Amino acid sequence: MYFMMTVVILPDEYLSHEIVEPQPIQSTTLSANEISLGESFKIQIQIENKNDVADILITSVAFPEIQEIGDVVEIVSYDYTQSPRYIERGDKINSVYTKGGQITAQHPSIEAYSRNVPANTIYQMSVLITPQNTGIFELHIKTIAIPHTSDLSHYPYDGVLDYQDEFVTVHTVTVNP
Amino acid sequence: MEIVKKQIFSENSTRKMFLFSNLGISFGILLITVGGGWDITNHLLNKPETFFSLPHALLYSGVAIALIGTVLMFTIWLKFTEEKKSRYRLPVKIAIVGIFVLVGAGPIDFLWHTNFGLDGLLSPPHQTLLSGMFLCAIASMISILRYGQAHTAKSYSIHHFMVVLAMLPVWLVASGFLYSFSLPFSNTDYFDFNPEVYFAVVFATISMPFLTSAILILTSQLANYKFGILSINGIILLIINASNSIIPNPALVDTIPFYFLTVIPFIAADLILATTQRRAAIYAAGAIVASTFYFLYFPLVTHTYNEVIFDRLVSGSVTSNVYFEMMPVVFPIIIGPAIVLGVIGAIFAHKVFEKIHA
Repeated sequence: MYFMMTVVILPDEYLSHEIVEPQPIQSTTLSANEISLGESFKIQIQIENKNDVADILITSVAFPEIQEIGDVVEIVSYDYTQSPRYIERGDKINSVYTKGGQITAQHPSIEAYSRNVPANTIYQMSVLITPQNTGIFELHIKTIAIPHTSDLSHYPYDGVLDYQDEFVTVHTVTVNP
Repeated sequence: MEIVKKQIFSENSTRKMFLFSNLGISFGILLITVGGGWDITNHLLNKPETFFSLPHALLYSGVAIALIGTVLMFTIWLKFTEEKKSRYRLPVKIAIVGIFVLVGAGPIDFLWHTNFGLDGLLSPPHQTLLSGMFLCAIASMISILRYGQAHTAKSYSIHHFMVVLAMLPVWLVASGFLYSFSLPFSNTDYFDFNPEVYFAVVFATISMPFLTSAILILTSQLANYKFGILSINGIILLIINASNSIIPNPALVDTIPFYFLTVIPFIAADLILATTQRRAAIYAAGAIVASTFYFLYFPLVTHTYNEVIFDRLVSGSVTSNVYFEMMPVVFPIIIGPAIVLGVIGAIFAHKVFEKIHA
């Protein structure tokens, strides 16, 4: 009877409970679409976690145009609950929303983390960027909630796929001479 | 004129103080293991970025109490007669070595953090800490049990219950070693000390039921098979584990009724041993308690078996889902080895029992 309860009856009961489904919504604001070389622009990112608690919320801002973060990127405001993580080319990172195993980072990025995020919680970060070259400066931004239990547990839901096989919103700023 | 030395304390009260010093060591080690278990959960759920946390405060309080207990133990031991000194020489030596290793783990941990950042569960500083804790727990266990040998009576006495306080820290520290070599919590920025996944699973499947059986059967034997002592030992471990690993995670709180059903096999084994002490009964009791290890070591055991079964990211909210999804796959595989290791654990317990009473 004991093993019937613990191995069959109770597991079935617990598995019938709904799994949490956190749904992050991301909004971004660029301070400028066009700048001159030597000038800086700011990107402001706001994330709201909807629907359910998230164990971890990760916002990634990636910079395909640069080799290393260095003096190009500076975080000017940040209220996520954990310190940001700086990813450099060659670092090991997850892919396919944690289901794809680890791959090697192809360009630098900043990952902002919050843990134990209740529903309807908002976080924001602002990043000041000073491009070193002329041309189109591209940014890839995305947010992932863990547990990643549905297609709504990441933002954006579709569009461009990055090298991690995850959807990103692409922002560009033209840097003139 | 002859100066007559008067004893401030009688020999009996000196022995009682010696006992209390050992109980203090046991209690200190208990606090360290409770703080350590809580710290594992805190790191899993919250990834704290500061050294100053409640689990760490509890842990270091335990170190201080164990240190005070050891100093007192040694000081009082020096006042014993030669006969009594000889009886307690071994546990005193073990305790002194243990406390040096335990306290020495602090500077080792600091040096490690300075050079390599945060360390995982399996790391030289943590294994040093566990080794020191284990030696202190063994020392106090031997002292408490040897003190109680002279007082064991047919009816219940405080000394039967002291067996629990003697055994529990040993069980918790040994469980800490088992976790070190079976949980995937040791991959850090500089080193990947995670145990190989199949090794971790085999190690857990062998060691956890063995330890559960050895500890609980030995507890019952040391308490003269008095009904209730084995159950109390098991129930306190359930309470400690629930407080450390289940209650801090809101997503796991509703699994508490499931978790505490583990009391049933403990009571069944306790009843068997209280009724008869034939060899078959002892082996059966060992097999029964050992078969509960997959439930007893919930929720952390989820991470061990997940590496092989699903290899999913197990965050706080989905731990119970992954655990219960694995149940129909894992349980039929582990129950056979668990029963065998339970019998082996019972045999080991008997050998240790004979050694303690030698």
